[in-house]
Amino acid sequence: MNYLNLAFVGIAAFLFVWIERKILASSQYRVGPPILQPVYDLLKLLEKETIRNFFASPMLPFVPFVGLSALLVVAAGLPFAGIPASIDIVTTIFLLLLVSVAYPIAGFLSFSPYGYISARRAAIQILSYELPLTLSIISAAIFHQTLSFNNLSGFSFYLLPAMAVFYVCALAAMHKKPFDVPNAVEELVAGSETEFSGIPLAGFKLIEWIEGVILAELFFLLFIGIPDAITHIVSVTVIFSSFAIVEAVTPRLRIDHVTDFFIKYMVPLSIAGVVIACCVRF
Amino acid sequence: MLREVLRSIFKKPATSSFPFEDHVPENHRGKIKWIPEKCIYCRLCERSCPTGACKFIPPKKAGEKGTIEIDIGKCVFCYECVLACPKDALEGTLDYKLAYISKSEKADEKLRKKN
Amino acid sequence: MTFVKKSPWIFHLNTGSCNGCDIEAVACVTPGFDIERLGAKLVGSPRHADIILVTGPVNKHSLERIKTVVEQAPKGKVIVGIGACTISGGLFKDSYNTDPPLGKHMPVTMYIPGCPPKPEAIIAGLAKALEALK
Repeated sequence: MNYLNLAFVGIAAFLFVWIERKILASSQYRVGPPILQPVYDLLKLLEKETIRNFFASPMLPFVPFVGLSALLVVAAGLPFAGIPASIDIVTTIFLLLLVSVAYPIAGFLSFSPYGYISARRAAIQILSYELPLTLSIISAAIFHQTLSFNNLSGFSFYLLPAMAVFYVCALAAMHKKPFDVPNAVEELVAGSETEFSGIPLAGFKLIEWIEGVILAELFFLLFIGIPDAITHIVSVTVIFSSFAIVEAVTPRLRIDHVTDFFIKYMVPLSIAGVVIACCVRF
Repeated sequence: MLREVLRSIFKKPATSSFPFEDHVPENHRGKIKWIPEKCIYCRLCERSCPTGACKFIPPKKAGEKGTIEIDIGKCVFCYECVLACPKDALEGTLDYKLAYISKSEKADEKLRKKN
Repeated sequence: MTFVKKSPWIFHLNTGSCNGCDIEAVACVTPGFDIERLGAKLVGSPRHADIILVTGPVNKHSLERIKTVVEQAPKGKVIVGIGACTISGGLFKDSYNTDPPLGKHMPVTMYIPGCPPKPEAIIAGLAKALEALK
């Protein structure tokens, strides 16, 4: 139970989303929001009422909290600043899948055509990116010859294909551009989150924010792996800022282009990453 | 495009400093003001108004003059009345912050017709 | 102490307007008059909204749908009517299919006169509405 990492993830969730909004704003020649804006957003959402939808399922308000608890379990298990990890790689893969599945479930349960379309597209996207993501994590595990996060041996050029695949699949997992389709499905009606308001909507926003920090941290631990605390914090910030810069520059891909891209380019690259890791180690 | 984005992070933003400073161009069409001393009550402004915002209110007692009221809720700021007035009794100002909190139908109307 | 003043989320609803007021309202999020530095954001679903900006003379065909959309916003919402059309129908007041003013059909908090009002006028009006919200 790594309280330090939980604290880091908690504070970084609010700071990183501010960094992302500032980078997007300054790339559009705007001034962005003030630094405490994500905190104000969250507190305002906690004040609003939760509207019970008569036609949707009664389990609807609880869906985001399933995903949120999975994320917090991962956050409490990752190592930080000398405290060893209490979670292994396989469990992390499954818990991240549980988080991604919260979006299609919410979309299908809410009785709304926008939610339905968004849920179908989110499910298609999950099927596309999960295989390359898992293979890239497995190739890192084969290379470092361990299934836990402790004592990972650090950067190596043999891991470059796996790094590239993990980076692109992380963008898809966080629903960031260019894989933005479930999130902004008609660009104006909010997709899976359409029927949420108040505290469940705050749950969804927290999932979005914390998932960014966790995936940046996983990238750092698996592929760069320097155990020092300051390097940890600085690298995670730089990795997340690079996600934000990619988001500012790319357009949104259509859902069939997304599947095309992952199956044609990412799956062979990730298989190549596994093969290289096997050849190096055996 | 990546180069453009990276360069724009170091340039100044293009945002106007609106809540802190006001930049109004000189020929902006704001609220219309009626000057009673110059008015000759010909009612040409009332005839030229396309929406019926400009109205002449007849005097209640004998010996008084009436008033010209312009309802800013109906006004579309076309300035036809300003052009039509032969004595320049209607004048355009630069006032554009005209929002008001709505209380009741009658109170709102009185507020909108105030000169 | 309410945090709605620090982070108002805005939903934009068009009831049949000529789109002049819509352009001015959406111009508020462009880099020229960035309202994101005041915390506001244009949001897609009426269930996420704190402020509903309504433009246009109320079209009789879409009146039922407009009422449904406004009811979907959670409690504590502020409804703002923009432009002369919401106050009195503007140029369309004697038309056969409009039903102004907006206040006849729903409780409107604030009106912003103008045809169309400048984005600065809209921002100043929104600030005033948030003060009154408390």
